[in-house]
Amino acid sequence: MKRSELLSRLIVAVAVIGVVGAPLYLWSRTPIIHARMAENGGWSPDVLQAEVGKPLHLKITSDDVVHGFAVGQMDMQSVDILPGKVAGITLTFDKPGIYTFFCTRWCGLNHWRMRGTIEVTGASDTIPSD
Amino acid sequence: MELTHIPFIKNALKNRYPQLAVFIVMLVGYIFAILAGLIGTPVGSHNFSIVFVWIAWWAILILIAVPFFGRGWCAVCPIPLPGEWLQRGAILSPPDKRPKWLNLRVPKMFRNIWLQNISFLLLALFSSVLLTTPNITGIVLAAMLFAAIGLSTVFERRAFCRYLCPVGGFIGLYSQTAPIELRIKDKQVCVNCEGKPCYNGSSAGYGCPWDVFPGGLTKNTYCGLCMECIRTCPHDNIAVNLRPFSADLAKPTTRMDEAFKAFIMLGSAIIYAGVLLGPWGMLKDAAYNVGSGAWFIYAAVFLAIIFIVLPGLFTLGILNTKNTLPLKHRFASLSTALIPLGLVFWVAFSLSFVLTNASYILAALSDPLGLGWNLFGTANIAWQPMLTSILAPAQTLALVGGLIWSARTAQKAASETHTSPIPVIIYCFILTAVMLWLLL
Amino acid sequence: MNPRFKLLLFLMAGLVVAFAPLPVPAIAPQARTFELDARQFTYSPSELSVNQGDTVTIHLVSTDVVHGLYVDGYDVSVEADPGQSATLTFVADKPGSFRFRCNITCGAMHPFMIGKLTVGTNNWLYRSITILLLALFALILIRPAKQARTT
Repeated sequence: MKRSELLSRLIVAVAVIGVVGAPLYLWSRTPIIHARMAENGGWSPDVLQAEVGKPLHLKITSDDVVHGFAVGQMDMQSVDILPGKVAGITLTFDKPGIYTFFCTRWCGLNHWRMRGTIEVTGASDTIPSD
Repeated sequence: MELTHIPFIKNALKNRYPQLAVFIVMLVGYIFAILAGLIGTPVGSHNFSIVFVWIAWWAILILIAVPFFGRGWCAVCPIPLPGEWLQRGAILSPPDKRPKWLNLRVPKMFRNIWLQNISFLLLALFSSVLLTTPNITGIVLAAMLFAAIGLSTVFERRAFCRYLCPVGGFIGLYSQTAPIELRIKDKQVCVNCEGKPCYNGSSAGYGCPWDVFPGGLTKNTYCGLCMECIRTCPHDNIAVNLRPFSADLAKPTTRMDEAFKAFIMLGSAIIYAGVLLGPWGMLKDAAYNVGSGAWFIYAAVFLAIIFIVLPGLFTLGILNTKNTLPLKHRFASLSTALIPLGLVFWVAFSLSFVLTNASYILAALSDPLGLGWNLFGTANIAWQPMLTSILAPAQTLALVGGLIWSARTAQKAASETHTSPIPVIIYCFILTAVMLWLLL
Repeated sequence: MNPRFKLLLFLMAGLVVAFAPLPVPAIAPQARTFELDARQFTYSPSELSVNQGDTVTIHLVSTDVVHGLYVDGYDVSVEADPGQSATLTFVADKPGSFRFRCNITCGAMHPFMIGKLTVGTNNWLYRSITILLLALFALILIRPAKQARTT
């Protein structure tokens, strides 16, 4: 095989593998919470884990219409979740327990059903300071 | 004027490397569009596949590539490439040992554009879903790629491109209006040529993948501007020329498949203008809710308009002349006038949604999958319609120009068939008035 | 008459039709209020008509999800959550036909959620159709000097 042909095949192969591999890799490493109207699944995932004192970084996007995000039992401004755009939210919990998050912008008849939970585990292994 | 007379142009076209570079960019973009459609955000306006296929690529295709370069898109399209490379056993020049694929000839029954008419209509009937849903676009793009690969392993040459591709059907028809062409320089040279490597291939290149004999090319319709024949011709007898717009329409077609393609394109432009750009919500619901009762009615009306109403009215208009030529011949020949009209209808329709939504292009470039990226800093550009003040005048100019263009085409076709062009001109006038009313 | 002269006449007539200022009917501007229901993917009513100079107030009522209203040409907009109607007020000083559309992504067919606002008369449409008619007459009546008419 001629050198030029070999080189061309190499370039094509690298380009194709790159365009498939790189986005797939980056996508799999970006955990995102998807918000959908309750009829289409609501929040996914809808159960999150966190630890007391450790900031929880969330990335949330809407797959259909405008939604909003807020956590009950916490003093926070609700954040708009716009279709196709990613909202970044950081939450820090003082006390362990089960917190509920819900949608704050009307998104259909089952809007009130759109909720999930955050399970916050206490920092039970912390050494108490003397 | 012969463009290939200019050494820079001739070498750029003959050399396989510039073409390969463009091919690689297009193939990468196409594969990325499939991926974005399948794993990216389901929100169409923020997904690379919807924005770059149905807004950016479509705009470039219908506003620039087709009117000015005819089948220019076919020259760079990535869909046939993997299959063709497999079929040829090489990416660049012909290898010493060719792989043994079936290389069957496409059966005679399918050697026309009816399959392309049908594939276009299939997409058209599902267009509301296709244009707005990323994973459907991803699946359709992937299906075309795999169909092309599959067909290349069974049939000779570019069977998908020539006989199945929904885009190729109308690009071919409209390429007759373009100001560039690929033609032989001297017929006598071809007559004396042994072996006809332009069609059969040689060590310098492959035989025409479009199953066209370059020596007999008189119209742009089926030449995909792939440049193989320029590489193989041992007599340097093939040229790419600049010529007046719509020179090919001076030789009207007599084929029914092409005639009906003109009606399919004309009808769908009118229907899309009404359903997608109009204020009638019920029509949009019917078009979008595929599988519902309303959609079946919509599909039936769509097909009736294209196959019965439009051609029927056309036929009634041209019936009334005592003429020795068979009606079929006059029908096909005069329908050539609908080619420039259809092109202009598509331009006018596309201008509207492209200018309204072009602002999504920069945003989708920075965050193609809707994952929150900002590759070029433009991810947060707000949606803003562009150039709205020039839209209406541009559409009027295009449509009035289109009527004049089709009328001139009708006059030429009519003088060839010894009939009056007046019924066709009035038919074009009525449809253009309807289009103006729908768009303005 | 020389065909070129005829062509020139038609071209000039076309320019006149396209650009000649038309008198604006002296209708006293009023305040108009509309209640517009918005649902996926249509407005109701979807066609509005006012006179030039009217002060237009639109109460946008979203009935299913969050929708917006953006008026082409006027570049004004508003958005409404279901249950919280929003109001848009503007003076319709420019005559013609303007599409209004949803500017808050509200689902798949969002880009085609469109309505039409007509301020005064849709002059540009009438001008365009007249120009088209002129083109039709020019095409039928102007024959190049050499070509004989064939029937």
